Amino acid sequence: MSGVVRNKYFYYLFLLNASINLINFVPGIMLDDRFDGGMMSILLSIPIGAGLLYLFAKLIAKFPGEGLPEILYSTLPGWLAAPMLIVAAAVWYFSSVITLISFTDITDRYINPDIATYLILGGFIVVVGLAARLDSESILYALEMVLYMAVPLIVYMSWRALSSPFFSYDSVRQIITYTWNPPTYQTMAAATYVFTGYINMVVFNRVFHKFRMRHIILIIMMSIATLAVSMLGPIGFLGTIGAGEHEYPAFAAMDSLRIRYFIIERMIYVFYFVYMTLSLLNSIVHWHVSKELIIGVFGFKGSPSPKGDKKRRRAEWWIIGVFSLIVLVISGAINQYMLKDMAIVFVDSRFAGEFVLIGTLIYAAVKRKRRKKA
Amino acid sequence: MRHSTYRVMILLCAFILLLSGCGFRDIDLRLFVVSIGVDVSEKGPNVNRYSFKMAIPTGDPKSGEVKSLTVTQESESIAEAIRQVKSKVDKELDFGHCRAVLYGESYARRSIRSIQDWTVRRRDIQLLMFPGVAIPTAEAVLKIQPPTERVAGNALVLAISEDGTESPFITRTFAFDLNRKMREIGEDPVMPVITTEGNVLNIDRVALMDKERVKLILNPEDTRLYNMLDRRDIRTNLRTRRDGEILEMNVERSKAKYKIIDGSDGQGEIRYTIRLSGTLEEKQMEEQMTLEELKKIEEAFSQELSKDVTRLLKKIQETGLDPLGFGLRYAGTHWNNDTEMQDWERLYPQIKFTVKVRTKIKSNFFKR
Repeated sequence: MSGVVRNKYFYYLFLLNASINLINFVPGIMLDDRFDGGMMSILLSIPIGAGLLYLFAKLIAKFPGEGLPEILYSTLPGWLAAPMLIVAAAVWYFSSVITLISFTDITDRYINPDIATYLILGGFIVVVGLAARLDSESILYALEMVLYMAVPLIVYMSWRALSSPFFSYDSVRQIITYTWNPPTYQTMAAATYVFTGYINMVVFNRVFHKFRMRHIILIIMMSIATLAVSMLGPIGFLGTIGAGEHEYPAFAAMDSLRIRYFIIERMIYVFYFVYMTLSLLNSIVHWHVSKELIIGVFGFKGSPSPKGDKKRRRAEWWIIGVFSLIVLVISGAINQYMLKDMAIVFVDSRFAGEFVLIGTLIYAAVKRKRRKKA
Repeated sequence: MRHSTYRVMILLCAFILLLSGCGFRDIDLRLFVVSIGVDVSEKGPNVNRYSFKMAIPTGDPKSGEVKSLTVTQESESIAEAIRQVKSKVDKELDFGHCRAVLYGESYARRSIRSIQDWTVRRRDIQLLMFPGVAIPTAEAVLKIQPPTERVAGNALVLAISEDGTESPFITRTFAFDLNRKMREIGEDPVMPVITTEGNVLNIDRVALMDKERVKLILNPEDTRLYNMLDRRDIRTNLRTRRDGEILEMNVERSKAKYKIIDGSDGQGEIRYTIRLSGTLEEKQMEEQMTLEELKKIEEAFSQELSKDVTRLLKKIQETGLDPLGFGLRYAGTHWNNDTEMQDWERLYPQIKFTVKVRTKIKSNFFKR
């Protein structure tokens, strides 16, 4: 087992997921329901998401230095633990598939339509696949550095968007008057995705030894800001009706921003590079987590280390190879409507899965306690 | 370990080799379309006349040599027209630097929806493009090359973007804003109007549209007032008369706010508050200024502007259009989502306007 990291890395994991939320499939799903309960779903999702996060943080703190595979195998029978880990890994991996494919699509549309899709995706996969093999700590350190560079730019871009004279606050107000419509499960599932960064702890907890959850109010405020910007930002630029007509509402909204006195004129290029880095990093984290969960099934314990045994390394390469292959196959097989359907399936199943995960952890914690007493 | 690192390095290098291929054309093999024009055609109602203005790159921008080419193509759809134009030129057409799309007046009075949709849909055309109505035709406007132009096709864009000149008569509109207003319920789109005068372009009017076609073109005087209502800090001059003598004020800051008030009698009221501040630029009176005189002059400016704005608002109201988005504001401040727009449609034709103007003349420059 390798070194120990401090508590702040938990917040970075959360922050990564929250910031990626501005551009991935979440705004699209939320905007679909802007006239039918989208706002109410967002309002409800804040206590639900924060509650799940808080519960999870409390529970995982009871298992210092342990990942989900260790916890499950020590408290559940093997025939139950293995499929649970596989399903968890599959769901988590699935989200990175959607991120990678949609980002390839975005690159293709906004940056260079002349390059073949497979080349872009291939480039992404090389980066993600290689980096996902690093040990958990290195990934967390990289995460910290990237966030320090990206977050100021995101804040700047959001500020520019909200202070633009072409940002229509009347459209935003119009959507706010639709708050009292009954919420929908789908939008709630999408909106709680902001909080979901904590799920990465199922593997990264191995490097946290004295983890304690503090300042949850910071997390709540951050997610309110993220949700508000990701839902209302596109509406201000694209209109109450127009916001539903774009494939990537956040990108269309950013394409509406101009930096007048700078080397480049369109804000979208800055936005693109910030979010390409974040998307790739998010995929790296997801692949890393999924890979570790699957490896856990095969009985390789602990977090990877540079001197890990040969068998484990070979297993890692196989898993990453299969991951890459699946992305390439799916990317060739689907169109943009299916991608959106996939995102909805992921978001819905993930929301339900979170409850299962927390239920399992409660069971494990109780069982562990009894065993200690006995 | 070391072996796998090498293998990975080689793999990465292989990817770099692949990147340069695949239909990518160098910059000297591209022709940059800087603006597009759409006009009606005499050949029939389904055929349009599309003009593409392309910049011809010159080695040295300082040489003052500006070359551009305008190719016109009649076709039933713009997608088809582009493919036909492609066979008329020797290089690949690139729309990445397309900054303006002009609709000829008679075309804009029919419907701009399909072209507007095309510009938003097409991936290499930015949403930061400037739309405009061209009089007499888009082709005529595109063919004009003002003597002040330094980069081909740049003069038009510099003017309508207000990056260059900053005129109170120019209504700056972006494609994304046009697109938003064309769909929004309760707010109607506007576009600047570009006319030709010899070899100079003149942009001093605004076209009010219903959802897709031009309905009314305001005169320059009203356009300036419209801009003042729509945006902040319009730098303009304002004129009033006192005892038959002309007074001109230079407005530096302006801010227009409004409130919609539901009357209990079913008649609503839109209350505008306009704040202006600036300096006195021209005065034809001989006497020296005093503080009391200044107050009176401020009052005169306020009354004059209030009268003019009320007249403009009534004029817009009579057309039934809503370019300032009163309807959207009404909807955004009312929570009965199902009925609010019917209420508004009943309310708007008979709504009252009150305009309160507060003018502040900060100084009158070096003279008293």
